[in-house]
Amino acid sequence: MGVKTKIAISILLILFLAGFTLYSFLNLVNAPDVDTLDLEPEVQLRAEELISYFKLQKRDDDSYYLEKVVGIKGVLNDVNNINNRYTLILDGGRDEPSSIICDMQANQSENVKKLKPGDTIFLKGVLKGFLKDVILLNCVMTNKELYD
Amino acid sequence: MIRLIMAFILLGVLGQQENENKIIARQGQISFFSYTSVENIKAENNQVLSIIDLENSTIAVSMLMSAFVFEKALMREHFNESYVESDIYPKATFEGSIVNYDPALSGVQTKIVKGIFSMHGVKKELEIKAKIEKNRGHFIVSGTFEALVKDYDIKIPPLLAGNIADSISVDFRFEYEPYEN
Repeated sequence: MGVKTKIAISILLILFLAGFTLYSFLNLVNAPDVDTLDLEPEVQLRAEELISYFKLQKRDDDSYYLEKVVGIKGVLNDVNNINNRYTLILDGGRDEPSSIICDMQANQSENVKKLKPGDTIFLKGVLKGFLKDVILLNCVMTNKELYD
Repeated sequence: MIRLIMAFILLGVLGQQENENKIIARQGQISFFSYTSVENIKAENNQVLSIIDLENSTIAVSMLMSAFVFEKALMREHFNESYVESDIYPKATFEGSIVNYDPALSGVQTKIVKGIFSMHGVKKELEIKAKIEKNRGHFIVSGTFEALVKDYDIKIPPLLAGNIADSISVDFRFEYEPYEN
């Protein structure tokens, strides 16, 4: 193999590696959020249980559930489209002013349109914390079987 | 016994009257925009809590920093882990008052909202121009202001300095409803 051929192969190899590295980097940088449909909930709770967890601070570490995928069973209080996003509000229980605010993933709009207040629903989402209500993002409807 | 019952009723009525003057937004929106020649970064938080006491025109705002939604997952990670450190400082708050505001007037009023904004462990006094709309008893407060990254002790690594603007444009919009406990 001549010197020129070796140089040419080396240049091609370097270009290939550089291209692959750049492709991998751009994929990493531009990656969208993970679809919650593909994630298993780490814990399943009723809406009332989750609210009382935050209100009563049963655990010393109040960040126990934060950023985890949580499955929720609750009664639908309201569906709204404030800020052009579908949001489900789950009832906190009798005489409980706090609710669960579930910001739905964009691919859930068809499921959300079928819902009405009073429905018992099952969903999962990423728990972000508590202000006056519990807040979950990237929520998706899920199966009742999760709770059986 | 009768006195005790009367006291409870009185407390209930007083509590109700106190809340009648308050309005609440549970799904307020705050978005920010950073524009540089390298990239544009936009994020929004759609679950911002705000309460206004119309009796004395005080306003309180609270938001979870981890509830900002970004276009790209990596932007969200950098924002939460490296810049605002949302595990250490999970909330940002604003407490202040609307200067010379008359809640009895319908229509649009432009007012100055003055108060203390607290984020990333730093408290800063802000004066923000806000548009307040009152229509059939419903209130909408909206506006824009600029925030300097250096004012909030946010350290940007030199390698990424070109990606993030020194001044961040912040938009807010709150739709209020009557407060019910």
